[in-house]
Amino acid sequence: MTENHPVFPFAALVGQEMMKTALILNIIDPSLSGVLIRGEKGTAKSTAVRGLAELLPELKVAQGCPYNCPPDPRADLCPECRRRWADGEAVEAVKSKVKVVELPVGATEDRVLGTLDLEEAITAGRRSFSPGLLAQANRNILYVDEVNLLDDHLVDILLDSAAMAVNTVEREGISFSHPARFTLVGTMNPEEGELRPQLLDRFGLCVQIAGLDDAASRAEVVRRRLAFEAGPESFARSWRRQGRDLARRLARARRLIKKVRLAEDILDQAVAISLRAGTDGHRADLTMIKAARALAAFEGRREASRQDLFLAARLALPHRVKRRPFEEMVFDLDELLAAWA
Amino acid sequence: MPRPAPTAAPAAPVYPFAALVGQETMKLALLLAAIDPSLGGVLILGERGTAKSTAARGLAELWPGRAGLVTLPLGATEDRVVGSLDLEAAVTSGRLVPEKGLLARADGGVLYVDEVNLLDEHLAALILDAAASGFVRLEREGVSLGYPARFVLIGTMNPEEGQVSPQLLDRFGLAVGVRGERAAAGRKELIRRRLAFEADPEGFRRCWARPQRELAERAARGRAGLSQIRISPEALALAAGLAQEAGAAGQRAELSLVKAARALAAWQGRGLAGRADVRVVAELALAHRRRQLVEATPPPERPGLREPPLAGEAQGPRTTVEPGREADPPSGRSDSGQAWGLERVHQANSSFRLISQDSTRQGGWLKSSGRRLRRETQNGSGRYVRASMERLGREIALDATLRAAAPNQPRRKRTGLSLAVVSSDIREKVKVKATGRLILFLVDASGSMNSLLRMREAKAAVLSLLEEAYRKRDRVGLVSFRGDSAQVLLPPTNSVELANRSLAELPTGGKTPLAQGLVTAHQIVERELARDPKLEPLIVILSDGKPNVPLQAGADPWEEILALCRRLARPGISHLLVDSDWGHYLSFGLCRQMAESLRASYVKLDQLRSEGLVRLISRRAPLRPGKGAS
Repeated sequence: MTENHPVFPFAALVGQEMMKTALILNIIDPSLSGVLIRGEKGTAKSTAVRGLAELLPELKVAQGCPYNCPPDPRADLCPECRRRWADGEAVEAVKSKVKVVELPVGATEDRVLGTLDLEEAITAGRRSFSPGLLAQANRNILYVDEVNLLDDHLVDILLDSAAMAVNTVEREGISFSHPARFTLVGTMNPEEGELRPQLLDRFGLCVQIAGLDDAASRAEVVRRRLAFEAGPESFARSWRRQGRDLARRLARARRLIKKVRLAEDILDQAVAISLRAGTDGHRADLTMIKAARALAAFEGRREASRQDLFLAARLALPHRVKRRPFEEMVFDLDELLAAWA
Repeated sequence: MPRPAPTAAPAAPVYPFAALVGQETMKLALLLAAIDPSLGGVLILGERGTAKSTAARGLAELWPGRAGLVTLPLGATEDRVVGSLDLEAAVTSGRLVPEKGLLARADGGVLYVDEVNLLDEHLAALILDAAASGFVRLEREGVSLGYPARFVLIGTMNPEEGQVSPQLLDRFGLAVGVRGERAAAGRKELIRRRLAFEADPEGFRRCWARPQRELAERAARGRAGLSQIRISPEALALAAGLAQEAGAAGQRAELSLVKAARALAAWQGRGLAGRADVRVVAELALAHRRRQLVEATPPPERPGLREPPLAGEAQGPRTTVEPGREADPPSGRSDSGQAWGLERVHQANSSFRLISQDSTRQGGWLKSSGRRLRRETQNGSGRYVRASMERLGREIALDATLRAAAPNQPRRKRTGLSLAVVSSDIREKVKVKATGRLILFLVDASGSMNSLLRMREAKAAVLSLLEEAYRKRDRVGLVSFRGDSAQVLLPPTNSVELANRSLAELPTGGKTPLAQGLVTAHQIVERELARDPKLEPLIVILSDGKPNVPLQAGADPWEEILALCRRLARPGISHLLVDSDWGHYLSFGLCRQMAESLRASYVKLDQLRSEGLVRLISRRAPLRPGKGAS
C-alpha cells in the first residue's frame, strides 16, 4: 500500500474548487460521512483524494493491528486490541500514513467484509476472521470508483458500515465485529446508471464536476501534468510549501471546529432551506450545519456565517432534493439561496 | 490473528430513546411493544434519514430482560442465522457441538433487522418460520436439533426501496409510518441534540439518564400491571369490527389490536382498556394488514411515497408527490394535420402514472413499490447466502466444507494435516443477486397514421419504466425503425440522464422496415442474453403491422415477417405486441398473425389505454398470448 513514488500535490490541482472544498470539509469533520463526486472520467478525482491524503497527519496505530486501532484503551477497539489491553499486554504505538484504500468495482463480498481465514482453518482447524477492505479502511479513506456500478448489496453493506462506524459480520461461520470508521469517497458517471436515492442520501456531500472550460486553465492543467511527469520529485518539491501551509490550516481547523459557534439564525436558515427544498428526513439540515461549521473552522473563524451556510447548502442538497427523473431539478438552488441572501 | 468474539458487541454508544424529538407515534408503537412483547414486534416505515434505526436501537435499552437486541446484518449467511456446527469442536475433539445462530440468540429479546425489505427471501423465510413456531430447527451434517427462538421482530424499511411479503408483514404486530419532522422548531431541536450527542456521547447520555430511567420505569410498571388490565366488552367489539372492516385476514390483526389497546392502558396507568384505546392504536395494528378492494379505487399515488395515516389523524389521502399525468386519451380520429412522409419530432410526453400490479391488488403504501428480483447467480457475483451440496463448479464454501468434513475426522487419515477433506465434503456457495429485467421497446416510427401517438406512448412508457428502474434494477432500451433502417435510440440502460437525452428528439416518418427492426431488437437481446443467460428479456413491439421494406429485395414483406417471427419465437424471450392499427374494427389480421407467429402477447393500443402499458409490463405473471383481443 505504501507508495514510494510521489503523489501529484493537492495544492497543484487546477480548478474543481467544489470538489476540493468537499474533500477538505470531510477531513475537518469526518462525521460529514463522505463525498460523492459525480462527473466524467479523467477529471482528477482520484488524484485529488490521494493528494489530500498526503497532507494528513500520520495516525498512531497499535502495532500489528489489522484494523488500525489507536493505541488507546479508551478508544473504540477491535476485539483483539480489547483483549490485549485487558490482559495487560504491551501495545506498541507505530505511526502510519493515512491510506487511500481502493474498493474495486469487481470486489467480492468476502474481500470487502472480511471472511473465514482459510489458512488458519485448514492448518489449525481454528476459526478466525480474515479482515477485509473495511478493516484496512478503518481511520483511513475508502475510495470507491464508479460506486454506481457496484453490486447493490455491496453498496448496502458499505453504507451501513459507514453509518454505524462498525462492520458486523455474521457469515461463513464467523460472528465478528470491528470498528470501521472511514471517510467515504465515491465517484460515479451518471450516464452509466444511477445510484438509488437511499444510497445517495448516505453520502454527506455531493459535487458535480465537469471538465474545465476555459482555455487558460486547461493549458495550466496540461503544463503542470507534464512538469509532474517529467520530474515528479522536483515538481512535488516545488509545491511542498503550499502543501505544508494547507496541512497546517487543516490541522488548525480540526482543533477549532469544536469551538465554532452556530448562531440561532443559522440554524433557522438551515432548517428553512431544507424545508423549502423538500428534502426527505433530517440528514440534509444536519449535514448543512456541520459543513458550515467546518467551513468556518477552515477559514479560521469561530462562528459560522451565512455565506458558510450557503456554500454548505450547495454541497449538502443537490443529491437530496426530491426530483422525479426527467424533470430538471424542481427548485433552483441559486434562486432559493439568492432569496435568502 | 484475532479469535472471533463470542458476541458482536459494537461499543458505539446508543442515542437515548428519551432524547428523540417528535415521532410520537413511532415512539408509542415501540413502547407498546416493550410493554407487551407478545404483541409481535414493530415495523417502522419511512423515508430515509428519519431516525428509524436510532429509535429501534434506542428501544433495546428499555427492553425487559437480558436477551436484549440481536441485530441481523443484511449480509448474514444462513449458517449464522439458524446456527450450525461448532467447527473447532468438531475438528479438535470430533464431537458434534451445535452452535446457536442469531435467531436462537434473540430468544426472549428483540431481533432487529434494518432494511427488512432488502433481506434475502430465503433468510426472510427462515425468520418467518422461527417467528411462527417460536422455534428454530437445525438440520445439518447429521445433526438435528431445535432451539427456542421466541423473539420480537423489529424492522425498519424505506418503502421506496422495495416491498415486504404479506406473510412477513403480518408477523409484525404493529406498523408505523414516519416522516421527517416538518416543524422548524422541532428540526432545530433535533440538530442541536444530534450535534451535542456527537460532540460528547457519554456526556449527552448522562444528561438524559434521568428521563431515560423514568421512561424505563414507566414501561416496567406498565409491564407489571399488564395482566391486571381489563378490556371492556365494547372495546373488544370495536376491535373485532375494525379488523373486519379492514378486511384483515385471520385473527392476528384483531389480537394485536386488543393487546395494543391493553398495553396503552398499562402505559397510561389505567386499569381498563376501552374503546378510546382501541381507536388510538387501530391504525398501528391494522394499516399494514388492510386489504383494499381491487378495482374500486384507483390508486393514483406513486407507489411507496404515500404515508400511512397515523393514529388519531384524519385519513384523507396525503400524497407527497404529484402523480404523473396520464397520456392523452385517444381521440378516435387520426391526426389530420400530419402528412405522410414528413419528418416530425415528438417531445417526450410526461410519464405515465405508474400502477404496478401489486399496488392495485393490495393497495396502499406498504406493498406497493417495486420488488427487486433476487436470483441465484452462476458467475460468482452476488451475495453468499448459503451453501449447497450440489456440485456445479461454483466457488467453494469453505466454512460449510470444513463443517461437513469435521465430524468424520476421527475416521480419516490426516497425513499431517489437521483436517482431512474428501470430495464428498465439498460444498459450494449459493450466491444471489438483485437483478432486473431487460425491457426493449421496438417502435414503429414510420409515417403511418398513428406514429405520433405511438411514439409518445413508447416514450412515456420508457420514461415511466425507468422511473422504477433504480428500484427494480430493470434496464430499458429503445429501438425504432423507419425509412430503410432500424436505429438503436437507447441501448439498454438504467441511466435516467442518458435516456432523457436520447429521447428528447425522436424523428418519425417514412416507410416501415419492420423486419429490420425485429432483427436489430433481437441482436441486442441476444447480446445481453449471452452475458446473462437468465435475463428473461421482454420485447415490446408497437406497430400497426404494415411492413413495406423487406430484408431481401424483392421478397414479399408480409410473408417475410411471418417467417421471421416464427424463427425468432423462442423460449426465454417474451414478446408483447401492441397493435396500433385501431382504425378498422374487424381488421385484426396482420398484427394478430404476427403475434401468433412470435408466440407473443397481443393487445390493441386502445385497450392499452385503459390498462396502461406500464402496468401491463409491470406484471410479474407471464403475459398470456392473445389476451385482450375481444
